[in-house]
Amino acid sequence: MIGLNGRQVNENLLSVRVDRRKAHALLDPAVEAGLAFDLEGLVVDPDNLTESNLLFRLWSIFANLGASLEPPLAYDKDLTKEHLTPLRNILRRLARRVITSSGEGYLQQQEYLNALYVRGIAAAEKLIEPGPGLAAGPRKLPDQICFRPLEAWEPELIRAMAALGGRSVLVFTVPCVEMMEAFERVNRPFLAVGNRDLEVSLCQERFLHARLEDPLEFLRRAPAGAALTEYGMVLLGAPEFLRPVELSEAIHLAAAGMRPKAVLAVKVEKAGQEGAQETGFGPEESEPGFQRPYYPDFVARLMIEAGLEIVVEGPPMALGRVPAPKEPEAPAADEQVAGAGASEASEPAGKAEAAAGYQEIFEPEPGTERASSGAEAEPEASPEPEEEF
Amino acid sequence: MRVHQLLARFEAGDAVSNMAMDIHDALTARGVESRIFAHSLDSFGLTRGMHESAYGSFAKTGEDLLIYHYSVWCDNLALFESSKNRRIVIYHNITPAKFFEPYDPQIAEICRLGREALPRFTGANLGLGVSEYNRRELVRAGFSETNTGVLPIHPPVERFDSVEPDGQLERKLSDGRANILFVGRIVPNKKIEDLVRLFLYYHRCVNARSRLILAGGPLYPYILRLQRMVDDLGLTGRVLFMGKVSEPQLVALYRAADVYVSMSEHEGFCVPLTEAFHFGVPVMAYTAAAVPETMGRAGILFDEKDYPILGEMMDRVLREPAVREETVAAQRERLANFSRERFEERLFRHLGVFLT
Repeated sequence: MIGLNGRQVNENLLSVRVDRRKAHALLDPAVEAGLAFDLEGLVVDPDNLTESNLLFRLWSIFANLGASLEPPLAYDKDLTKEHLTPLRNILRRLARRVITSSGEGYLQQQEYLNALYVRGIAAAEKLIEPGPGLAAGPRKLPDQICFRPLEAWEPELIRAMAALGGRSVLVFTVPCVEMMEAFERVNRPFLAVGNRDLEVSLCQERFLHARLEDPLEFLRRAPAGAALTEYGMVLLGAPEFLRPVELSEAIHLAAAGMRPKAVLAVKVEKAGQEGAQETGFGPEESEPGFQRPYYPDFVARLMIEAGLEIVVEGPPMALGRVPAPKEPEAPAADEQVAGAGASEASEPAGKAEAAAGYQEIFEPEPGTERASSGAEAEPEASPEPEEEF
Repeated sequence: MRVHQLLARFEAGDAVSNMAMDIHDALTARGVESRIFAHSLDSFGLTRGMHESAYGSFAKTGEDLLIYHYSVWCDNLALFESSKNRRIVIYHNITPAKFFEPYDPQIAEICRLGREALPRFTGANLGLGVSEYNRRELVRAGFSETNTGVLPIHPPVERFDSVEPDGQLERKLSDGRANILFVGRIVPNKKIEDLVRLFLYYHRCVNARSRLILAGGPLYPYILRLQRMVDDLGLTGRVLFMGKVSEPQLVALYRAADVYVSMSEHEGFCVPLTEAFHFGVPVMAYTAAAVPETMGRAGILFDEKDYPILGEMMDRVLREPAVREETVAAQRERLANFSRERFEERLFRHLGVFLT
């Protein structure tokens, strides 16, 4: 029984909401297993630091030393430059203590501090820009900085995307809740994975199947992309938060894991504009939440590198900066088909204009039908029941 | 006529120490000579109290009153037993050993000793519980019904009004995410794992834009497992272990909190509930031990840990201003029950016969 100010709450209303979340796969088996987590039976090696424990210890050390690294929300990976100095100082102090204890022969202390120091560096690399003495390593995706929801896509584009590709959809980086609602309206099962909690929470609010998770980690975790085979379409809805190297990895992982005839759609900026993705964006790129405009030519090149075929629909467009490709071979019947999502599109084109490699990508023109899709893309009205998940 | 108080620890920010100070201040204001003695004292305690050994010279007069605050097993229980003065015990409760057994057998043993020693107080002139729940435990230990009473704590929440919050912390927490707060020691009876489970449901199924903040000093073997649990459940960075926080930090946490949740299964009073009341934070609490008494008919109480249902209830509190306002209004009303005036009124009602 739940009482609010002494009055009993109608739990049926709450149960209905729980059931809806179950029906929309938000309350999935992983969450149910987590709710039954056995803490008492958990065996923990105190010398094997967990990430949370390491951060907690570092936080305690900072606090004890008066280094103001408050709050420990620095775990959220949004440390700024003002935090950099105390963090480096503490790592330097730790290093000194490791050396001192080593010199004095305190083996146990040395091992402990050594572990703490090594893990501290690893944590620091995740939290801040690599500095002097810290080796550069892979960083987590910047996130959690933009407090505004991403702008809704054009209704035409949403309609076009909702009709593109096979029935079930993996939305990799969540573009806007309207897109997810469109998938829901046309009865296409989907899973949206993103690391911007704002878009994910908006989906959850509407009982749409979204998960807050690092999307690249989600793809990496799937052995040989096996988890992707169940999807008829993979949509990279908000690639602007990925660094070029991360976008490339995402496209490669998707290409490796998608089933034949599945469609990969990537949101790009309007074609015909200059992009500089190949060389990065300068120092501002390191700012969390930095958004990178990706243009069709760059994305097309990544797709070709990943072994995908670009099927062009709509009027041709000069690619400009992308080097000419080899003469494409005729696609095999079971060949994977990829398309770059346009920034604007109307109803899905009924017929592909040409399967001409990636030499030309449609250029948006008002009133023309443009949507990239595979020549063999399944129509909206013919869902594939076997793809249910 | 002098009144002496004897404690295990006399420390800043400790609920038992605060109560001893309140009694001391109330007695002093009425012209009664009052002293505080403790087994251990921190720098704050040393400014207001004395080591227990100093009580020895007063123990044999037989003319004074000794108030013993019992919250943990401590050797100075012998001082209480041997004192010739009239004696009152204020029972703050001791956590049952079963909560600590899986994590720290030594602490479990101390708890067991503490609870087993309760019948040794039955020779006191009066037994007071800081809640009715505690009073009943005294009766079960052998006190007669008529020889017991209830003296609820006066939570010193007014002190927060003069504390400048930690601005940096408050700004960081005011980023639009739902802040779910728990304040208290990270020990097994508080059932932090249940709080993490509730948060798991809420975060994964209801609102990804949320975080769980745990403020309080930890029992290490317990927090190690909790931190592993948090990592295994993919909640790293979303469950914040703040450790013991300063007053400015505590104020910042309460000001930024959207809801306060307690899953605790054993509380003798639970002061943080009243602190949340003071800051206008809606409270959701599991009905256990003295918690329902402290809550009264205010806030949200539940007697079953059905995480999905509770997660949805929490969402209602967070999203529906009317629910929130109604809850907070009732909590404010409830807080008045623990004002200093009410505390002193009850205190002197119990002490009256001893002070004349």
